[in-house]
Amino acid sequence: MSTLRLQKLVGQAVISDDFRAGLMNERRAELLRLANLEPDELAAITAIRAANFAEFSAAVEALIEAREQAQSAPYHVEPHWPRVINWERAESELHA
Amino acid sequence: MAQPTVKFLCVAIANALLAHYGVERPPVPVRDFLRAPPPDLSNELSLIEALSFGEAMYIRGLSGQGTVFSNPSLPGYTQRFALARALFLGLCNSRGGQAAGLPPAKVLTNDLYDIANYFARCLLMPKWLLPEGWEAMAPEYVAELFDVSVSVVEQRKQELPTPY
Repeated sequence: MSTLRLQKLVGQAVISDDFRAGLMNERRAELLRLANLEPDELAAITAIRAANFAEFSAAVEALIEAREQAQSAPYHVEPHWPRVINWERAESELHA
Repeated sequence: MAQPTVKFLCVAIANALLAHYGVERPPVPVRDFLRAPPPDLSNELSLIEALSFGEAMYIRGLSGQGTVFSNPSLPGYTQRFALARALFLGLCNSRGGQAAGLPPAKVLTNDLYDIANYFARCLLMPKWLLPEGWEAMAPEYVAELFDVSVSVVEQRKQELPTPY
């Protein structure tokens, strides 16, 4: 549902001049509160810095894509190896 | 300068229109969208059902008023799809569409035609309105449910699932 909410936000700004103007000025926070976004969405959209509405839309699209990718790969495994292996210590621990 | 993809804008605008008109079940009343467009689009969109050839076309008159002319003698689902496609061309010419980065619809190129068709499919068969397990249902049943052609259902099946 959150993707749908974010899509509607951009779409609403295309079909309403007032809404679009508000998103690009100091009324953004007020409009976002009315959009019923999740707290993390609210923070992310509030933080967008865009020179114009096209840039704002591109930033929202990038946010949606990042979320979709994170949801499709929830188990990201990254092995962490020690940078420097102390072979003497490792050997002594092995024989201890 | 970063630009949104046209496909993203198609889905975003389709979903905003569906929310604006309070659509909660198929079929999507696209004709009503054109008869009573959102206030800021009233100069870009209107509907005259009196075309005697073709399917539908979007024309902007000397006064600046954009109008969709449609052919009422066509089957219902053909008309509806043509109306949704023509609606997109009006959106391309609107202030909001231009601000978002939609392509200008002065000349109907093949690319623009393909994008308009994609918009029409998103509007008439939005992802969130599709019934559970619709891919396994008979295409004829889904087509009847959404009042679209079977080929639109097949195309939608191919392009979903996508992020949008």
